Amino acid sequence: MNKKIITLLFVLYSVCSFSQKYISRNGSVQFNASTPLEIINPINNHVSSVFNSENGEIVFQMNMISFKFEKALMETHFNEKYVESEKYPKSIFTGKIKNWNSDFLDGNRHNVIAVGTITIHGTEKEIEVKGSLKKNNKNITIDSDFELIISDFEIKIPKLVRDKISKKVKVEVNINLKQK
Amino acid sequence: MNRVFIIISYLFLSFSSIAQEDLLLMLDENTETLTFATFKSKKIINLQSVEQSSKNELDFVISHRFGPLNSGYSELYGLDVGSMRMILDYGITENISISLARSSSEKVIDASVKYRVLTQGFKNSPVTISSYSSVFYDTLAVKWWAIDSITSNKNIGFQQQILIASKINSNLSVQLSPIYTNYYKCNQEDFTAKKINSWALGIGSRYKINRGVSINSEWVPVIMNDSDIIHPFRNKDIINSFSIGVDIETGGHVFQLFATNSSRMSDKGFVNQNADKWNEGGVYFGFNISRTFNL
Repeated sequence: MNKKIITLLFVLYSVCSFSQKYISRNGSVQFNASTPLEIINPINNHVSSVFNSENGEIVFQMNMISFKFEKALMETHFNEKYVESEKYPKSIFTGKIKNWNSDFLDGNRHNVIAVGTITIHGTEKEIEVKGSLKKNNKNITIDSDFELIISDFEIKIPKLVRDKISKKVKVEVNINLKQK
Repeated sequence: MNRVFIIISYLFLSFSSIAQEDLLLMLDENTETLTFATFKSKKIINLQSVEQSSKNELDFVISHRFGPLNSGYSELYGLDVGSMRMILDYGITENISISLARSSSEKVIDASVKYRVLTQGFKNSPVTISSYSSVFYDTLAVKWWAIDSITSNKNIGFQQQILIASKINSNLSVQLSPIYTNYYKCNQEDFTAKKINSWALGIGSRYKINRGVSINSEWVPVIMNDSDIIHPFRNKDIINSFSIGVDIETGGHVFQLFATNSSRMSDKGFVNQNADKWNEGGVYFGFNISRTFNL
């Protein structure tokens, strides 16, 4: 009997330690809200993400204050007046890769669609974004491009600078997740 | 035997269900964030704030001061007169900035360095601390001092401030600045000069009423001249600076509109050389306009 229990514990242990999770804390998200009047193209290199390769669940999280702008004053205005980083410090995406199956991890690049909820400035929105995914040894790289509309997130842009900031924002995500 | 199996399979199930749980929890970690935008501008009104130019940022400020309100109808309550101060401020690093300024009516040119020693939020610090040192040169007084002495240049003076500021919440910020000033006070009648060692305490605050507008106020009592302790309310000789104003921010500009009893705009002038009192109508309207360039 003891032997059986030990064997079972072993199985249990190996199941638990056989990780299906991939994690990263230094992914990048860059957005572009440039207009002919002003270049607005900041990057955040401290994006965290976890991906569960068992069921295709994926989450992203980042601190808005980590976006680095070329102009310091623009960075202050972004944090203080527009996304209100003190009140809403984090932006989050929680979702799932559509039609997930383990064939996506065969080492080739696959185009995938993620569906889920994005939270920016305390406002939630359901989104569906296209991206690509590739497994490389113990890493998974994920890239994605999509567009967001500023007004969807209750971010108010004053009239005076309205022409300087694009209403649609292009977002580019690059992340390399390591097996946990 | 069976019971053991059931217990273990329960354990297994519960383990795997924990693993399925919120992936976000795996990402949580404590990150420290440094406080930003304690004040909107590098000055509260006359007083230096803990804000400074970022690296490679050049800030050009024009300060304008009208005449006193009590100058009456013939001077349109001060609006006919005006003096100005031009300031160029440049950030060498994120924490060190230098500036050069000239005040038109005081005839003073001054150079200063601001150095941020500690930022609020760093290792849970409740305050931001900066050092502000300035050297000023009186270009008008040259001819008087030449008569009095040739051994020491009495046109020159210096000031050291320690700026301690705290952003209490996203709307309210306060600042305390001990100020030491060393300068020569000139007597225009007998061409003599008296060395002044003055200690003052600057107290300032800003309150944001919406995203673009804040209300600022400051009071700068002189507390000690040489070894004489000065009562901020009861003394007769020294008039302390009190100012109140609004900051209006748009794109790359900050406009500061204010009323003050200090006619002088240089660091030494507004702390130590006030001649007008609020209760006698010695109030000056003024504004600062700043434009930031990225080099």
